[in-house]
Amino acid sequence: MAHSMSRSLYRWLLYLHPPAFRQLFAEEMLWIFDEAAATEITGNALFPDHILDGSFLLAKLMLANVLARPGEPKVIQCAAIVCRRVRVAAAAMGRATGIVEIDGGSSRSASVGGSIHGFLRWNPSRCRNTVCLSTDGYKAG
Amino acid sequence: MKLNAMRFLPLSPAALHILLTLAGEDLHGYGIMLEVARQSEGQYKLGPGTLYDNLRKLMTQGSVEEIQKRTSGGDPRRRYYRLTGLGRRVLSAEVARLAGVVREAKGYLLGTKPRRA
Repeated sequence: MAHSMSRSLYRWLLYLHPPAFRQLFAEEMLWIFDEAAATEITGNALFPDHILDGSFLLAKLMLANVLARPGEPKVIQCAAIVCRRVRVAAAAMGRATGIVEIDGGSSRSASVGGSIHGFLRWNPSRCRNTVCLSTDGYKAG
Repeated sequence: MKLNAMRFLPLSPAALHILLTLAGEDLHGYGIMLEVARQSEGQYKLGPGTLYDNLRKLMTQGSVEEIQKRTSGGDPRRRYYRLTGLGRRVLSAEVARLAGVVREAKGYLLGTKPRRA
């Protein structure tokens, strides 16, 4: 009972995180919560830690969004990740005008993705560029 | 083109621990948390929020990347992370920097280095 309430609270907390962050990590964070609940041997002591930790991160991300100057990234994307996932995140945000493509899902494409993280740091809804990226390099248009 | 690892220093304690755990093997998020606790003998506990906030930054700078790794019977929500070449260089540079700090501190604490006036 206490666990399900804590889980619901934690899930709700994750829902409040910026969409790009939530899209990438919320499911896995919830998995960790479940995993920790199953293996934790000190009763419920862990759950307040998780909720406190999640609240702290949420406050930090919201503050970063509030303090971001106009035109600066409001939601920070992960770049060094296979691009399929980034595209899903961008689509989920809606209003996205930017398209990013990386051929394949190799470590090379991921590291190339890391080198253009500046493009992905934009909130997709603010993105004005179309970036075509391949394993041979990238061009912006 | 190789990125200069020095530009990412100094690392936060969380980032240092994450890179250190991934230097040994590819791990999922929960595995990183457990390994950090083990390596620090329970003195440093990483919460999921801190972990993913730092993972996000490390992935953005290209030090860590997600890999496709499927294990039989594993939860589909589980994702694995790996240290990149840049990540290894950043970790090496940070360890060298910390070694310098420790050397300096020992010099003062053991009295082998004179205090400045």
